Amino acid sequence: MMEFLRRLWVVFRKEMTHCYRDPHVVIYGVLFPLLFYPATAIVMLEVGIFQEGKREKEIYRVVFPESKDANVNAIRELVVASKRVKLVESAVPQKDLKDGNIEAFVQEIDGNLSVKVAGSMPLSETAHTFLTKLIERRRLKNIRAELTDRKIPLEIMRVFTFELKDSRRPQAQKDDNKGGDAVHVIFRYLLASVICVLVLCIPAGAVYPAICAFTEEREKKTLESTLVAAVNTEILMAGKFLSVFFVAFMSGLLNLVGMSLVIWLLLSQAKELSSLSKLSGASFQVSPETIICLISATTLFSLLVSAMFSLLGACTKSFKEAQNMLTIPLLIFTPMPIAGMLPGVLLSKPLAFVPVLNLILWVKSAVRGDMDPMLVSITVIETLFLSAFMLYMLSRLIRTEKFVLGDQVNLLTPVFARGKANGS
Amino acid sequence: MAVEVKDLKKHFYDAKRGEFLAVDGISFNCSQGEIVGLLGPNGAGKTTTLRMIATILRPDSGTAKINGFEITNDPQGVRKNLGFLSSETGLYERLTPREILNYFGQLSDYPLDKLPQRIEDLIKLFEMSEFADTRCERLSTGMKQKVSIARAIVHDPPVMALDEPTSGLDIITSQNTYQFIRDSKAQGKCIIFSTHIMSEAEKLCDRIGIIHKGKLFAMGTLEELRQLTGAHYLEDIFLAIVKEQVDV
Repeated sequence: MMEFLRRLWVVFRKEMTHCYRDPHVVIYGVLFPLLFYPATAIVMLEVGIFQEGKREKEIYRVVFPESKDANVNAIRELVVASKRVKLVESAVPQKDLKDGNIEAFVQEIDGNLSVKVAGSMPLSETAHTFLTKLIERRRLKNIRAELTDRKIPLEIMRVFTFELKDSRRPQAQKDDNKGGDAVHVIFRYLLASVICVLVLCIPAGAVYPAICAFTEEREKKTLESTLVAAVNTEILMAGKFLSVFFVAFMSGLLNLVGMSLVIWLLLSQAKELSSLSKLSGASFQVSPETIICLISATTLFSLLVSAMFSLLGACTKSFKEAQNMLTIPLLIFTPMPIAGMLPGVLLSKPLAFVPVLNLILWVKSAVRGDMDPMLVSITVIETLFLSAFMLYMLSRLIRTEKFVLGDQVNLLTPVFARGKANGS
Repeated sequence: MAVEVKDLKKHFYDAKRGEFLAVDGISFNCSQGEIVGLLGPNGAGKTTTLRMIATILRPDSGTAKINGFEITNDPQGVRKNLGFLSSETGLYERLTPREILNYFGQLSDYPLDKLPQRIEDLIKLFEMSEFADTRCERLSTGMKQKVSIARAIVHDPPVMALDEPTSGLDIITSQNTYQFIRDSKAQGKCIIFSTHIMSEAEKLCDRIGIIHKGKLFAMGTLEELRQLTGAHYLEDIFLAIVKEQVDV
């Protein structure tokens, strides 16, 4: 046993050395996950700040007639006090709005305020947002003041925001849905989308290690010398597969780290945004259950992808052929996250048997807090079974003469192979 | 006998040709300190024979023993006693010669405590010091050939199977390879050598086997083959034997 493990380690170490000296592996497996997300997030935030700065210089011409209602006048004063609004008089505000002479027209109808803008005008959208924000802020201030006067706890304000109630999801409400406000919903969607990004990134990290370990061995004709080196095919296959799995899994973890950084960055901004409602005082915490589920799904998906790519890599004779072949599963994986994120698509009995999609839905259910142990078991067993099946096919394939001799092989070769190499 | 080959047979399936016999009942032997050459044109069955001896392919029938280890029953024993080198075999491009020798040395049963010294000795023997730590993708053909030979013998095997070891090499690298084969013979190694270059077989081999279309038609020293055919040059000897057998 110790000798088996020693040889396995020798093969694994060699594969890792050979693999990590390939620039493709370093770019797609290490640099991409570590740099791409933070860089993208920073760029997006910078663009946001730049746009915000630009908007602050914008002056909106607004028609806001005086009212008999004290509250409306208080809001009007707030608008007048704003440096970004220039109040203008207009006899025909609708026409001025249409002609582009003003950006917005605030109208009082039965004590309610409505902000009208001309959608096709350049500043109309931002003017609308700005005015709505001001009005909303004033409205909340009034409510808060009234609640304080009546000595009612401010917590009651949460009743006025939407809350996702589901009797099947007590855990989600306890952990993630304290306030039930929009920011928490966004946070939950961000968490669920992590696995979707991983479904696209882990295969990208596993492609080149699989090519290095299997295709290159055939293309560069190094297999013969390896097979004569007193190492049996089981050790050779296991060492190579482990290297592919390790790189894919590490790539997945690095993606997780990268995305965590981004989510942290976004949430630090979200706190500022949520000051609008002053309701997101609740902390954004991920339950240990969700973390375990996320890592388990990453591990299982890495296993499945590594087994699949190792098998496909072993079927190809050249780098180019391998790239073409491995693009097919990548294309199949791409729609899975989109399907998984659709509202109403949840882990169910039929979907628990759909490879890859079941892993996405598993994580989605963990984030929502409505995991069904039976469906999770089906997902795990099915993924393990598929991985084991592909590894079995791989072990049969690399014992065939066609593989050893570098001949053309296809996925059915292990089933219908005529000659068997002397590899044991 | 270091190598005993008895009635080896191997057939392949090809979509164009259907089933065909690549090796048809080849038998020969080779003792320590001897070089046996398998001479034949491309497709004669030389490489398949050596691959079976090296345990890469499993024979359909027949057997071979390497230092007493049977190729089908004890392939691991065979591999410990055999160094296999093929002109077609490549090197791991992103590893250095030292790493390659270390990898194959560790996979063999060569004592691990003696392996670093063995690697140093080989680097010195093949004058690889200058490029021992350079990745193989940056090496010239001659340098790569040195690494390939060192890789094949890193575990110090008593038997060597060399499949057209000078194919595609320039004259200087070929001469170095010849010298290595002669030195190995002097050390008492048993060497089976396949080639389609007549002069190479003439220069190096103690005994030459004429192989064609999977069959070994004759085996003997150059002198014995001359007596058998009445021809002087190996090229004429080869043609005489092959023509006679084909005519028959």
